[in-house]
Amino acid sequence: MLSTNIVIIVSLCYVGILFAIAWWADRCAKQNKSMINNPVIYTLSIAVYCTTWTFYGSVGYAARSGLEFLTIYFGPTFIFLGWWFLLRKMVHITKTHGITSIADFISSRYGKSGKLSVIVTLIAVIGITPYIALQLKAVATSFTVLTGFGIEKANDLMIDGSNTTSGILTDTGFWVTLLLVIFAILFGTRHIDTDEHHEGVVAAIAFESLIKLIVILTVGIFVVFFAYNGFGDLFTTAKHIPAAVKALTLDENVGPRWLTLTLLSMAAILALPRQFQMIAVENVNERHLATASWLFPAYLILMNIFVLPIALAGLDLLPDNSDPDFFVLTVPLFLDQKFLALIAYVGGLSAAISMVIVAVIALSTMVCNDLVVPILLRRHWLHTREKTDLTGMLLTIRRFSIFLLLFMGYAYYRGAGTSNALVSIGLISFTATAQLVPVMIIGLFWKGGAKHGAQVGLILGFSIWIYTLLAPSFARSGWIDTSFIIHGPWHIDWLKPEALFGLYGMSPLTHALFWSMLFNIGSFVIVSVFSRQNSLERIQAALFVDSFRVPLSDAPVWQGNASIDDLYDLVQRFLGGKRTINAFKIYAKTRGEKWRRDGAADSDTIAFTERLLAGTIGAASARIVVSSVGKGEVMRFDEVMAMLEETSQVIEHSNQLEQKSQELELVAGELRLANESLRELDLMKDDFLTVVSHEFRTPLTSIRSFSEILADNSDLDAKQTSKFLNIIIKESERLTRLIDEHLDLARVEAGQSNWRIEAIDMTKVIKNSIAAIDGMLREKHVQLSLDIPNKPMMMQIDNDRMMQVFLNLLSNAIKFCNANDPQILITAKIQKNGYLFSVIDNGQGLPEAEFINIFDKFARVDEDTPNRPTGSGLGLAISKRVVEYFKGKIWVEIKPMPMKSITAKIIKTKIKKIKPTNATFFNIFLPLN
Amino acid sequence: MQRLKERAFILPIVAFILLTPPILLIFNSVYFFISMPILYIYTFSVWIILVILGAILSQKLQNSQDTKQ
Repeated sequence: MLSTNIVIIVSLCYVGILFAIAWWADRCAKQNKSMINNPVIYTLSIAVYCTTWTFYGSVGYAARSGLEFLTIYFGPTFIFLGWWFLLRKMVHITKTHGITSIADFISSRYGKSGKLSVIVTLIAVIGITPYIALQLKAVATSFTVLTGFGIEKANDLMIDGSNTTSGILTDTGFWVTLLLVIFAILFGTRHIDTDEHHEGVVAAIAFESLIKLIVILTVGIFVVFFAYNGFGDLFTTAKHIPAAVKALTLDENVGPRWLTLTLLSMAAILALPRQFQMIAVENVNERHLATASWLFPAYLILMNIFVLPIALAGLDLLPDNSDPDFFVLTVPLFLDQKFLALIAYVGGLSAAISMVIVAVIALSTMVCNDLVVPILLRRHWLHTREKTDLTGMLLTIRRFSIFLLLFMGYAYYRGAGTSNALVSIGLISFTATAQLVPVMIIGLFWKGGAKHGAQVGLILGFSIWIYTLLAPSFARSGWIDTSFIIHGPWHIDWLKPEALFGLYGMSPLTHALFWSMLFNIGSFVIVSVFSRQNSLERIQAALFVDSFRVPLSDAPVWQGNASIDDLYDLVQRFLGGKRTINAFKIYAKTRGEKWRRDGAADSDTIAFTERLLAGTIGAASARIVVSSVGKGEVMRFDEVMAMLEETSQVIEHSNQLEQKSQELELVAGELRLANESLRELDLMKDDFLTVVSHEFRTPLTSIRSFSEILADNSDLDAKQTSKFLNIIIKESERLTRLIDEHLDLARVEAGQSNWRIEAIDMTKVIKNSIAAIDGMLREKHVQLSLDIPNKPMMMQIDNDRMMQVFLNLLSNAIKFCNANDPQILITAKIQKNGYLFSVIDNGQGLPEAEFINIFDKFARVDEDTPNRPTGSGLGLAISKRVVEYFKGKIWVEIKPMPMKSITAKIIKTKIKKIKPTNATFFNIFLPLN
Repeated sequence: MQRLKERAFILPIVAFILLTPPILLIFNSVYFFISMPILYIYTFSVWIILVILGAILSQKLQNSQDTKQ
């Protein structure tokens, strides 16, 4: 056992640390440095879901029913994995409408109905009280177990549960309750704010979530790896213990119960007031939800992975009659690990404190905003037209609510604490809060869900919960006679609370959930379908269901004639002077106006005021307060919708326009490009047609005219006839060649030409070309010289194509060289990375402007040049394509004729000294490939 | 975006089906695998895989929403 003093000191120190963290975070918030603006801290704050029920109860549950306890964590996992559809919408609505609690959320959805918020608050308070009691019981019992382990009396306690026989002042639970009241009041109700953000509390809760996770992992690792030799050893041991072996598998008929528990936990993560508070109200940034959607389920996995092993170890080690709910403490104690047990106790304390704090803060807000303030307003006790400051009163109401709620929990714990295991108390609470889920979820997606339907549904569902679950639990605690459970009230058989309408064969929990949900959802839907929604209801329904589509958060719903001064005074009374002036100034700024405290308020300003107040006292109360100042009425549904539609249409319209103009710009750019290339093509086509028609026309004209002469003059002599026929043949050949070359060029250009690339000596190519054109050279008496290296110049090249290039250049040179003294020189030089070939003629050269054009199709040097080429005009174009295909370059330059000439062996012409005249160089550079 | 939304819709449904009877009861066996009960291994490994898929998906959803805005 551990000394009571040590445990008390450790507990107080721990609470002291929490105070410090909460105080520090609040101070940071005041300096505008938000501690909690972080997705991990947000996730940890949501882990307030894991209470002592998880910390102690899960192990107990696992010892009794194996892995069935996981259902409580599977539900939240499913909801968080589907965050995109439900949680995201919930958080978005909560933030845009400044919603303060789940009661506020539901009442806002159904036309800011005051009655509805009262119903929700009552359900939440009555439903959660057992849950708070459960935490108190857990802390008190864990304290007793820790300090009394091994003592006879404590062993009894461990079997029975807690010690209800002791007096209040000696009861640990009482002091725990008192401590929690102080903490909750200090940090939950420090001041009244425009948004219900409690930075300090959130930071403290996140810290506690971290602590309880670390603790359970520590205990788990110790048990599995130090007390046993890993999972395998533990599970194998458990296989041989009769008590433990049934925890390894699930009951065959677990189905309905499993489903019930999963559904309940899905409902709980959405509708437990403390979960709503942490997930939606305290959310700082909607983006954090994306991280929490997987990080929170991951937290749950870690939290639960050692639960079954600890339970099995407890069943193995501890005596048969030990309470499995406290194995987390008793297993380390049994193994004489006092420090570990103390740590485990701190973890449990942590779980209890966080749950209770957040639950009572959330509930006290609801009690204040949705229960007390509306009553005061309706009774005209608040005198809204006077100028007294009400902030203090609001705080007092909340503080008193916290005190009341905690001591209600304490009373329940004193009264009923002994009878139930931790888990069954928790499940009673879960079933109560599950009643809120249908009106909440269906209302998010179905505009037809109406106020009256929601009211009837909630009341019926909750009544059935009381009758089928709460009352039997009271009866078992001995508060009421149990006979009505066994025989039914007044011995009416079909009214038995656990077999309502003669429905037997279900576990009490499944039975209660089934009937309450059937009546809840059924009456909600049926009444909704048959009731008429008023204007405000329809507006609110539209704002909720289309929350991502409708941009306005505070739709101007009021048409009133309040003065700004009146509204300002009103807000000031609930918020205090400083916050009010700030809020109004910011509001004026967003509207682009200067803040002035006079004049009549337009409907926008009234809507703003209402929202400001709603953030403090809830939507339903705010509506009553504002309507007391501004004598106005709710605008008609279609008017508001028309305004909203207009705004959303304008926004959508401008979005669409922007998108369209972007698209248009893109298309225009593409069109411009296409147009340019088209124009280029068009130009090329024009050129081509002119040239082709010209080139093709010349031979055709002569063929035609000579044919006509032959046809018309039958008396021509044979010699003349044959001469004309020869011309016709020659011209036809020229035409054929023209067409062939043109096709050839087209093929080269289109890349469809068949290249036969092989290693070839360029010397051979040049010599073969010269041999091929020998006739022409002789005919014109051209003096050809060669200046090429002696060694072979090997290249990977297409022989025929390369010959075609040289033939083209040579025939070109023959045509252009000086007719009186025709000289041609072919040189080849080996360069660093390739060969440079030049075909040089001593013609009159060509103007520099033509140097580039000359390689174009059908390019002809100046039309009027007397000795203009008689070729197709395609030769150089083809040559250029071929050279470029081999990554080479072809160009023209005019330079003095090189003096050095070398005897060409093929052509036995005498070498003459060549005068230094200008010559035309056709150069080809071919890189080594 | 539409495809992502569809996947985000299917994920929790798949999760529900895998971790609820009757599928769950298929693995409700007295036999051990790597010296642990098959049910224990099944529930936790499915749970972990689902969370990993959820993490990937939520990242993508958030990104595609950011680019949309």
